[in-house]
Formats: sequence, C-alpha cells, structure tokens
Amino acid sequence: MNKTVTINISGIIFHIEEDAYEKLGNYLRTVRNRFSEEDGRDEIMTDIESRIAEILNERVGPSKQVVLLLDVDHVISLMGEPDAISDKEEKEETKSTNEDSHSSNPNRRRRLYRDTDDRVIGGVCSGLGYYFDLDPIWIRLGFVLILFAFGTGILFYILLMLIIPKAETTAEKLEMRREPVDLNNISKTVKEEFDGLKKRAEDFGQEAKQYGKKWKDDSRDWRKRNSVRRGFEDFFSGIFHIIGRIFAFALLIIGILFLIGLLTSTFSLTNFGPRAFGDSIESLFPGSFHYAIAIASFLLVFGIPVVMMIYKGIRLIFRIKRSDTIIGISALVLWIIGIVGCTYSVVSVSKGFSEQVSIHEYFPMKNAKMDTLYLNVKIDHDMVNEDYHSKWNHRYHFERRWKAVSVNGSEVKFGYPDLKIVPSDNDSLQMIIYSSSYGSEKREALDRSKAISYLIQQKDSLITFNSYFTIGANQHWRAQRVRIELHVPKNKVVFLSGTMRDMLNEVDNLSNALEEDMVDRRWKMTDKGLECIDCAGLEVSDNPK
Amino acid sequence: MTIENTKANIENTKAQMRKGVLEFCILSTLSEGDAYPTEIIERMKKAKLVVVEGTLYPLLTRLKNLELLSYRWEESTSGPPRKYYRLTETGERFLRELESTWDELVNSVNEVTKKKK
Repeated sequence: MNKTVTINISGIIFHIEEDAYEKLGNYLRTVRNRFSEEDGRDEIMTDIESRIAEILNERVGPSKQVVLLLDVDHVISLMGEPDAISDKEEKEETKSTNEDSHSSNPNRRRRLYRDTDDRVIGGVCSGLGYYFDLDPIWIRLGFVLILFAFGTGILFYILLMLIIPKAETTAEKLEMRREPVDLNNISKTVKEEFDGLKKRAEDFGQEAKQYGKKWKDDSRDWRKRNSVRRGFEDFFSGIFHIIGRIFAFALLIIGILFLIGLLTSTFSLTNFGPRAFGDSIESLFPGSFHYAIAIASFLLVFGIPVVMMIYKGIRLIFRIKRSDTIIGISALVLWIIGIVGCTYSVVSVSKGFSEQVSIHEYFPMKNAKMDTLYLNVKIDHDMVNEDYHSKWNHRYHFERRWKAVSVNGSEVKFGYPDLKIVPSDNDSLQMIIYSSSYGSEKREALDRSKAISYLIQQKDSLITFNSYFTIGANQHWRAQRVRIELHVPKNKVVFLSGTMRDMLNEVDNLSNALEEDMVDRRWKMTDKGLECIDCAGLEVSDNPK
Repeated sequence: MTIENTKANIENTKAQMRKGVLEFCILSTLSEGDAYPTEIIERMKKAKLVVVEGTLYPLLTRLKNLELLSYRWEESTSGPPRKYYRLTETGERFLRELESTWDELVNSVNEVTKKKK
C-alpha cells in the first residue's frame, strides 16, 4: 500500500505516488532554476509541463490509474536531465559547469529538519547536528548547559521544535543530510548573491541604455520594455534578498537578547531583587494567586512578541517554508490572554485602593501647659544611613520623605510620618495622630488603619517621634499613612531639632521658610501664625502667608 | 589554465556547436511542414540526430522570440492542447542563409580536415 498525491499538470489531474511526486517536483524545480535568468522561463516551463502531462496521460488508464516512480523516470529519460535541457549563454554555461556542484543551486543545499529517527525529545539536536556537521551529543550538551540560564534552554528548545519541520519523506531526509553548510559555503553563497546582484545591475544598466533609444523609435515594443522592467525586478529582489538575510539575523539576535533580558529581569525582580521592592510589588495584589497571574500575563504580553521575533528569524535564516498559521494563531491567542490577564491585574490592584479610611487618636500629653516644647526624631539607622547595613537592608524610595525599608526581609519600616503645626483653639498643647489606609472596601481600609503602629515618647518637655511606622504583620501595602497634627496655643514656643527635617510637611510660618530652614530654630505661635524668634540671618519674606 | 577549465571550455564549445546545429535542424525540419515538439523530435530521431525532448523547448521559445517561428494551438486527443510551430517569412529567409553558410562551412571544414590527414 502506498500513499498517493493528487496533482494538476497543465489542467489534467493525476494521482501520483509520493516518491514519484518528490522526484517529479525536484526535477521541475531544478529545470526551472536552470532558466532563472532566461527570457521566457515561464513559457518554457509551461511547454515542458504540458508535454509531461501528455506523456503521463498516455501511461495511465483504467487498469493503471496511478503514476509511479517508473513513469517519472520515463518522463525524465524522454525530456532529458536538466543538464541536457539547459540552454545558457556562453559565460553562464562556463559558470554553471564550474559551480554546478556547489551551492549556486539553492535546491541542492542542505536544509534544516528534525531527525525523529535519532531523537531524545524531538530530534532537534540531531537535526542541528546534520545541519552543522557536528555530533549531536555536543549540541545536546550545549542545550543542557543553557538550561541553567534561567530556563532559557527549555524555551529555546520548544521554540526550535515548533519551528523546524520534521523530516518525514525520504526526500526531506536526504535534504537534511546533504553537503554540509560550513563557513566556506556560507561565505560563498553570500558572495554569489552579491555577484548576482552586481551582474543584474550591470545587465540592467546595459539593457536600459540599449533600449532607451529604441523606446523612442518604437514605443510599441512591449516585450523589450518588459525585459527592462524585469531587470528592475531582479535587481530589487536581489537587494531585498540580502536585506532580508541581514534582517533575519538581526531579528534572531535581538529576540534572543530580549528574551534573556526579560527572563532575568522577571526572575530577579521576583526572587533576588531588593526585598522591599519585591515585597511592595507583591503586597499590591490581593493575594499571591493574583500576583502569579500578573507575572504570567506580564511574561506573555512581552514574551510572545520576543519569542515570535526569534521564531521568524530562525524561519527566515533556515528558509523554512512550512505553513505556520497554527503557531501564529496560538501566539495571538496567548498574547490576548496576556493582555486580558494584565487588565485583570490592573483592575484588581486598583480595586484595592478604592476606599480610604482615616482614624485618629489623641496623644496623652503630660504637662500640656508648658511654655516650650522640644521636638525631636529618634534616629533609626535603617532609615537614615544609606550605606550602613546596606548589605542586609534594601531600600526603596521615590523621594527624600518617602521611604520603605525592610530589615532582614522581615519587617518593613515606612517613613516618614507627616507633622503639621497648627494654632490651637484652647490654651493647652494637643497632638492628634491620624492613621489612614486604602482598601477595597471601608471595612478592610479600617482594619488596615487600625493595624498601623506608631510610637511617640514624651519626657518632660521633649517629644521624641519615631521616624517610621509599621503597617502590621501580614498586611498588604495600601498607601498607609501617618499624619500628626500638633495644636499649639498662642505664645507657646516650639523648638524643632535638626532631625525633624524629614517629618515636616509644608508647615505654614510667617517667614515662609522651607522645611530645611525651619529646623534648629524656635517658633512662637502668634495671632498670625508661627513666628521665628531666633532667626537672625534667615531671610524674612515681605509677604507672609 | 587548469585542467578543469580546459574541460569546461571543451564542454562549452561542444554545447555551443550542438546548440547552433540544433537550431538549424529545427528550422529545416519545420520547412517540411508545421509540427509540434514531439513530431520535431521524431523527425530528428529518424535522421539519427539523438536529442532529448527537453532541449527543444528553450530553443523553440528562443526562436519564437526572435520571430523566426510562430505557433498556433491545436486540440489534442491525448492530453493538453499542442503548440504547432511554423516558419515565419523571416524564418525562411534565415533558414536559406543558414543553409548556404552551412554548405560553405562543411566544404571549408572538409578542406581543412582532409589536408591534415
């Protein structure tokens, strides 16, 4: 039992056995290639095909319906081997006799297939082995090695398995094992391509010159005009071919670089990166499941185009012609899934910030009638010193006043709390601590606000603030904040120590001084607002707020 | 010159010779009457000029493009329609020229090769 293929030659339908089909196809392709630069190639091929149809038609009948290898051999013996048919000009004749056996004929070149006869997984390595004339064991070793490069190896293998067609027919297996593609051959091919281009350019120039005059005399000479146009086409198709090659290589290399970059950045961001950064990213999501979805979607949205770049690059370089609609469609589907996942992640994150709740408590101020209050911040090395402990602690801050520091990966310290100084309604000092948080609903936001812990200590007239607050164990980050309002009665004085700088948040004062100018000074509450009482040298604004 | 190049040149000369002679033969075959490629081959084989059919098609196309030949389609019982070629007037003139050139050539070649022997 043999498999047959149905073909149409010159409008007549034939059932032909597969091996016979391969042979006939190869024969026609080879003959066709002989005439690639010939005028009237299509016409010659039509004539030859219609004669072949005639010969084959005589050899099939009711008792023998299928065209066999034997019949194709008969056809070839009648029509002649490609060498006998070819009818080239003098210089081409020499050229083709000299270079015939090499790569000038693209159909004789080795092609890349997967060798499923000698396979471990998909025959990719042994196929590559044939292509590069290497023992597949080395290629397999190479793959195992890059397996450790963040799994790039696996991805690359799967990609190659999808792209490279399997060597199924005998013809394909032969193509796979043909003359090796080594550096010599490649450079030769490139050189030939350039030479061909040059020749075409010259031919074209001559033709154009030659026929330029004739055009004037005989404007109806369509055929010759056609040949000039074809010179144009050949010339540009040559340029495009070379550009295409360069493009394919660029596509492949850029794709691989992007892929490695993408994988390493995702990997390091989620595992090895700054702890506080990683924590705050994961803690943005409602749960680790959502986080996983977000990571996967991110990889899909950015990874699919990169993988497709590599895919197309390899296809172009190895000139793989098999249909890739299924892969294209699956890539599109995966990419859309990625987009949907990203949208979902953005929505689920932003939903966590939809409600804000703020709670407040009064600081139990001792001796609230004192005249001068000293404000101070307790130095915390994790928060202040950027270099100290930097091996163990990871910092993350958008600006000077916003910091998140994790200590040995366990507790995250957020800074700084905001301090505002406002006039008081009565004659005693008062301090109110506001804690606020966002949440997907009021209840959640309230719980998160309550979980915030912040410490202030008082010793006589000295108030010591902590430079950070914590959001509570197992709490997600929902833009928790701590704000402190200090209510100061008239004629009382507040001294701001130098450490207070990062806690002050746009404190109104009569000098319009900035935060860094307000520290290390005494400020007295007057009818109009805070007035500096030891500000010699500080420029006082003419236009107080 | 390397041996390979010499070989290639000999091959080339042979090919050129064969091609020129073949064109001449095609033209003179067609002067006996219109024919389609297979018939032309048959007539040549009778004259013991062994060629494969494939060789004919490029030559016919070339001669046609030079307007030495023209063709018409004719239905066939055993396959696709056939191209019947015929000599044009230019073709006939060209053939007569070729015939006289050929005679001269054969004479001269005989003269030269006889003397050698």
